[in-house]
Amino acid sequence: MTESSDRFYFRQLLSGRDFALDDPVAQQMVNFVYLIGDRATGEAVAVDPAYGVADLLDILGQDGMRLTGVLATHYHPDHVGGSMMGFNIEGVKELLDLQGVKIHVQAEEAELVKKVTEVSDSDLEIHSSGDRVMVGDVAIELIHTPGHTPGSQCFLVEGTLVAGDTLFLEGCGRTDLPGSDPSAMYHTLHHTLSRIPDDTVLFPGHRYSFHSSASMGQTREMNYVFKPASEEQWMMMFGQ
Amino acid sequence: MSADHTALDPIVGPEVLRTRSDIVVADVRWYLDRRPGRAAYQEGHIPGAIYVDLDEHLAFLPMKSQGRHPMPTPASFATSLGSLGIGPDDTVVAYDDQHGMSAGRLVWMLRITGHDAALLDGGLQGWPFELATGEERRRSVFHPIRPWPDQLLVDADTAGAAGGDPHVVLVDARAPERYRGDTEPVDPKAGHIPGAVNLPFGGNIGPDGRFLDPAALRARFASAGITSADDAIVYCGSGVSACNNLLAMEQAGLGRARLYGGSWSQWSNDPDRPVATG
Repeated sequence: MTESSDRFYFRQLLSGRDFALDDPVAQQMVNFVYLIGDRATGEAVAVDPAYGVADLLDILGQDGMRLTGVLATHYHPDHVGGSMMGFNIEGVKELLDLQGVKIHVQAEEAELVKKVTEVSDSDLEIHSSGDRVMVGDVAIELIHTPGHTPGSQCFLVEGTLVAGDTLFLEGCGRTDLPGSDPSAMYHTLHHTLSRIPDDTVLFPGHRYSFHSSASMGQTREMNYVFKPASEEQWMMMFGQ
Repeated sequence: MSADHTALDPIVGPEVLRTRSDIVVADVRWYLDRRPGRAAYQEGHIPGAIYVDLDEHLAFLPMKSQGRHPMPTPASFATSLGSLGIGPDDTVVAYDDQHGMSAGRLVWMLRITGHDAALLDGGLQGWPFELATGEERRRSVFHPIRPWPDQLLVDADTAGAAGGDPHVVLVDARAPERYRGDTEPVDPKAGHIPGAVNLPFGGNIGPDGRFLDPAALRARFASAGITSADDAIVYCGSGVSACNNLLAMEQAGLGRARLYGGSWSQWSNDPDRPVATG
């Protein structure tokens, strides 16, 4: 996209503050949902829509945008909906009931997303790393970033990296959960994402820091997950 | 900017808030001694004002390589404004209680990215009406990502070269005792960038707590050899209070000068950078 940057639609919404306002779980989990699109065509996708999905459609409508797809960073219920810690969280299932769009997932995550959200095969569009999803003239690159979950993915779009639970400003996603893989996380952070330029801006999946975003250069300088100089050192810090 | 109004001057009196209801009022109180500005806001603020946090919304974390208040990325600033409920067409008037020391940063960041924005002359102390308590929020909105204009932000090398360039005036906006190097409360070395002149931002303010009038501001800057902002670069401790001088220059009709955002907190953390005293 080469025209005015005002054409690029990008919103970072904090659960419990910007939508799902009265939901204590949303407030407690501090998830970020992202709306990304092309203002010239009015098309937008939602990244990790959970909690108040009708609120998200309302926000898009107020901005003159319409939902054309869902991008799922990974299958955990605070990102796509489902049952978690005794709570039932709204997510892609309820969103698709309101508006029938595809959910873009990495192949390794497809079965897991289906299992926790009860969506069907026909709801999913299955991707491999490097695929692009076009939203109007906005190209979103899907990068497979396993470690937190087998099919975690990050989205690279217009100088931003929407990273889900792969990378936070401080720390990274947990690697001690079922399906996590600390060795894969090392390769994701130290190899796969090493090509992301320093001036690309990291937008994480939770507000776990005082700041809500930072450049990759700042993140690499300050985040302890970039300190280990080898996989051996990494596994001493993060391996179980 | 609002279609029904002409653009605001960089510094405006409180009357504008009584005559226009469409303006977003921003409380940007912040204290070097770490007292929480938000608590001060909650105890009493101009009715309708939202709280804008210098550390959270107008800067990234302190980094020795970049200074105490690195400029946020354009995408970070845009999403922060959106979360605060400030859209691209909103007019903003900002204040603090230290002569615009911190609020000036927001106003300058907004103005250089195309917003209609102004500093409230006299600050909170000059507000003659009642205050509100508690927290006020605006609904979040979309704000486009707009790049910082490169020509208005300079790095340490450019600032250092300006100190030795007879055609450019390098301005240090800190208090005289910090400029001279008599004392240094926060940074590792005391003194200033060689070749810089000292125009403390407090000198823009008259005994009544209001900014000097444009003619007096012009005379003040002319006394330092500045007759056009094109020929000036301003710094301070961390690129915050310098914005007061930048807005004062614009109010004086001199145009927009450049900011060395890393300022003394970046310069003094680099052992290879020279330091002048006295």
